[in-house]
Amino acid sequence: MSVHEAQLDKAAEPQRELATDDNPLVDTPLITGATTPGEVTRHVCEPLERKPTQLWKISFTASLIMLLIGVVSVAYQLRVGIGTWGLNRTVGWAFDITNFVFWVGIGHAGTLISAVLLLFRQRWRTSINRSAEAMTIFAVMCAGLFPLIHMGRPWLAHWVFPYPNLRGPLWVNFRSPLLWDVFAIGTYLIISATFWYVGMVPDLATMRDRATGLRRRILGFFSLRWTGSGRTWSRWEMTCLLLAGLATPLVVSVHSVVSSDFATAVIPGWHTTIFPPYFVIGAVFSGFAMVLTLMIVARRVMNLQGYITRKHITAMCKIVVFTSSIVGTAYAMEVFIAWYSGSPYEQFAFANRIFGPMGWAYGIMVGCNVLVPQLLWFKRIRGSISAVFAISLLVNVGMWFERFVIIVTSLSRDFLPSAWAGYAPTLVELGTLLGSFGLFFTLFLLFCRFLPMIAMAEVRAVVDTDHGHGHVHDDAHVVVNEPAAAQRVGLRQVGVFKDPATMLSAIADARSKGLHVVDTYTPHPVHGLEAALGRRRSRLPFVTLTFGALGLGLALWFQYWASSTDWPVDVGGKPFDSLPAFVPIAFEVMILFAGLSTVAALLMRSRLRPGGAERVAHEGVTDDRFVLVVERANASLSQEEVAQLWARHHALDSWTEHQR
Amino acid sequence: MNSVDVGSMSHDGERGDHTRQVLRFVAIVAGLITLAGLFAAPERVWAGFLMGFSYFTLLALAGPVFLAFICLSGARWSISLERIPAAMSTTLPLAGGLGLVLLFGIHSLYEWPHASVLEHDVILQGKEAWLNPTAFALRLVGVFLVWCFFARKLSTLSAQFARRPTEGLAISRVKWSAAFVAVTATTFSIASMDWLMSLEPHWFSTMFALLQFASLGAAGLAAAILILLRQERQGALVHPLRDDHLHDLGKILFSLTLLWVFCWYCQYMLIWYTNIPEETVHYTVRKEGPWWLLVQATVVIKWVVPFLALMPRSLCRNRKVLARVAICVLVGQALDLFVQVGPPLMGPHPVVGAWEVAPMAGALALFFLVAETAVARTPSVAPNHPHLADSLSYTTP
Repeated sequence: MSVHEAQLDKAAEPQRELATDDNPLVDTPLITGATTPGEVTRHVCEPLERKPTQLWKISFTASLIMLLIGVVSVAYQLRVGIGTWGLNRTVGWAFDITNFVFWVGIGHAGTLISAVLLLFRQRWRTSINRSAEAMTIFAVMCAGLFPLIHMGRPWLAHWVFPYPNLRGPLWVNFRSPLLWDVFAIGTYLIISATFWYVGMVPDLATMRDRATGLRRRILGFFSLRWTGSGRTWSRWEMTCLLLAGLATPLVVSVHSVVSSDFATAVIPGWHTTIFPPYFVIGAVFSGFAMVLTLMIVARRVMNLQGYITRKHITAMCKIVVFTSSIVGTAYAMEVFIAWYSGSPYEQFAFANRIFGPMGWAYGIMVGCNVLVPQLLWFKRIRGSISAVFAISLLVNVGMWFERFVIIVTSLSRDFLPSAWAGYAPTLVELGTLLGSFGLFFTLFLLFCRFLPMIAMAEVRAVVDTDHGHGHVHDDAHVVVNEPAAAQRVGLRQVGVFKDPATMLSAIADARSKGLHVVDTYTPHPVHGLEAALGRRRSRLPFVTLTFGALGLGLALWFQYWASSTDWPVDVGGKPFDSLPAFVPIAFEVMILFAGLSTVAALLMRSRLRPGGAERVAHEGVTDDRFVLVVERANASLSQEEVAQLWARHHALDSWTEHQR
Repeated sequence: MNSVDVGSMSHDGERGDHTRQVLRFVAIVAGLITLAGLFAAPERVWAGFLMGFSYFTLLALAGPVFLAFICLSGARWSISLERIPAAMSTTLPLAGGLGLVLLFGIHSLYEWPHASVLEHDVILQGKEAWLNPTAFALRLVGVFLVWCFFARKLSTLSAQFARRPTEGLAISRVKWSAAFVAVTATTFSIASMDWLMSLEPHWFSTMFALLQFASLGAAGLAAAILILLRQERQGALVHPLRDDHLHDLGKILFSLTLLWVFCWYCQYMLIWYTNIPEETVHYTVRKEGPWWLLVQATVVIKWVVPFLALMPRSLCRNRKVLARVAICVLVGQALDLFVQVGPPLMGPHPVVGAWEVAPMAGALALFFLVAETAVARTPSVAPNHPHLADSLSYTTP
């Protein structure tokens, strides 16, 4: 423990890190808190195996109280009616749609970190992706709450889904952006949760192998009989890559669809063509601010300074200042085009926004979203954790106000001056907003308490590369013709290694001597393994492609059939076969089919299913040991010779196993 | 084995020279036709000239944009390829020169400089502070001065860094790149709205500049890939080009065309959906007859084909396929410019003749000629670059 603390102190030392952080030519280790895979396991798992800290209990109680206030507010609203929401004003749904968009926006950074940064091969994502994804899922749940409550009769919420029903051939309106929302948010929640869970399975296995009794059985159930087998790792990596490829356009589509709720309306200030990309960037911006807020607290509370280092915070600051500038450019573009358009309604909408009775909200929005984050251009500000924390909080506030400004100022003074109204939230509205924060923090604190906050498997791989164990020599890639199966002798030889490099060299040696490699069992995916074993690439992409195409076709056909054949309804004078309006749902269904089928294929192909206390090749195989299982083929080597081979490659342990 | 390689290389080298002769021929002939057209059919040639100028500028500006993004992202796989965008940057002053020529055509191209139009048009009177010949010319000169300054700065830094990689240079490259990206967001928006959007001065779209920026990315990368592959065939590359480099270039081209179609769809769908007359004017003329076919063809050529062709990993790593997809994207970009510039100037019927094609073909040929000459003058990365080895042995995971 003292060693760990010493490392943390070293990590917290600002001078040293600032000096190396900005030199693009020097590689410094990304993770300073651990130098071996085993340390990662201990640092992440041990806090989960102890009793909760005092600080956690206090925060959890506070969150529960907030949640309770929300529950009371919602119950009161359901009992009395949606008038308690301030819906009797012409501004209408001001608060719940603001909160909805705010939470959906928060929910964008998680998938961005896990998916986009994975595609861009940014290694720093590994320390924060797990908690950012958890944050995503909880934020999307909070978001979904608001339209649900706003329905007034949430027990009829299933009416938003297209299913054969007793109301005649009355289908949902596929041309409505509100229905696109249902599909987009639904798909996003399902795919994000799946991505999160699939990524967590290896870590749950690590926790399982450290646990006993009931805890072990529960973790065993959820870790899906994970053994760390090399074949499973390679399919798992392919699945993550495919899910990342699917989740990236999905993230973009979700907030584009949310923006269409406004942009397809003819309200000045709502309808503008830049809304989809502008909302997406705004969401990334607010999401990263929230990740910064949570991570700065979490690294302190959970003692993770060595994992979520200043490098991580600097990287996130750069993304915040970049996205802030794009958001600022979009604000400027909106105002300029409003003037340029020559349309008096557009011009009024923006003059009212800036100089009208709610100009203060516009001021907060521009100040918090555009001006304050510009401070992050300065190295000194990026280096100060407290300054970054303050800026991240202000951005959260600013982005909430962005939605408030868009929604409320445009609705409070629309085309009909007799309908103009001011707006102030009711107590019930405020209580529900507070309740959503309560729900978010309650879920997040539960997550920190029971699930591994750091993606151990991925961080182990980073630690391994950083500290020089992971260097793969080219001579490891020897392609050897496998002897025919019939010639194999049924004795399996098992060797245990301390790092991937020695295991890979043992593989090369073993294969050159005619031994057949049955499998490897490792705590993290080993790079160069597939090449060393001469295995072909996983064929999972074909599953993704096939089912993606199927989902696309099915969704397009169904929307055409329902809207133009089964029950043609004229909506806003649009043609029955409105292809442009069918694209969003077709896209979402395509992603849903592709993503779920890929995961299903992974589970089936690798025989991953709920299990109990699994027997693994070696107790350290989900922690810090690398196990190689070979079979003597053609009786080419004697048992002694195999033992010598293990010794040559510094095996820590070895034994012979009879085939089951 | 070796002798075969050398043989095929020299053969390719000759073919490369042959292409260069064709480019030179096209540039000269197209230039002469354009010059003649300025007197024979000015109205039609100016339309072509605007397309050619816009195209040339997009490709030229893509150079510093790519350089800046390479620096900011800290990418290492692309270090050995950095000469290509650096060379593309050197064509910007030429684009500025074409821009000065364009100033003589604004009366033929746009309606807003005409006092007779302004007199009866309240909306255009409201925009006169922005849309008037003086302000237009000042903005044009201004954005080119800014771009040329930054392009020169970035490519000089890149060349200095290639020769002697030091920490100080690396940091100042990052700083200049960040500044350039921030400046370009504004200047490029102004430029694209001035040159293209004001062809229909009543119409407006906040998405417009972003849509053009996505085009800049896609077309610019396609051009860079073509230059790179031609350099390789001529044996002019100092550092070998790996399949993995192509794979990454292909994936980025894939995503940039996807970004373009995303912006295109959003703009189209939102205008179609709300059906506000001020905005639909842009599409009503383009949704009729041959224009609509051309618009659809643009989407197919610029997005569907690259999307399908670059999806399989093996095709992405194939030089022939990648080169063809790049040409496809460039053709799509030409079509895209044609359907943007054409309708306001030609009315309901597209007109395609030597007067329209020559300026665009000439501009493209000129761009490739100048950029490829510049590649030869751009120093390649010094062997002591600390991350050059990462780039040379780069393997896509």
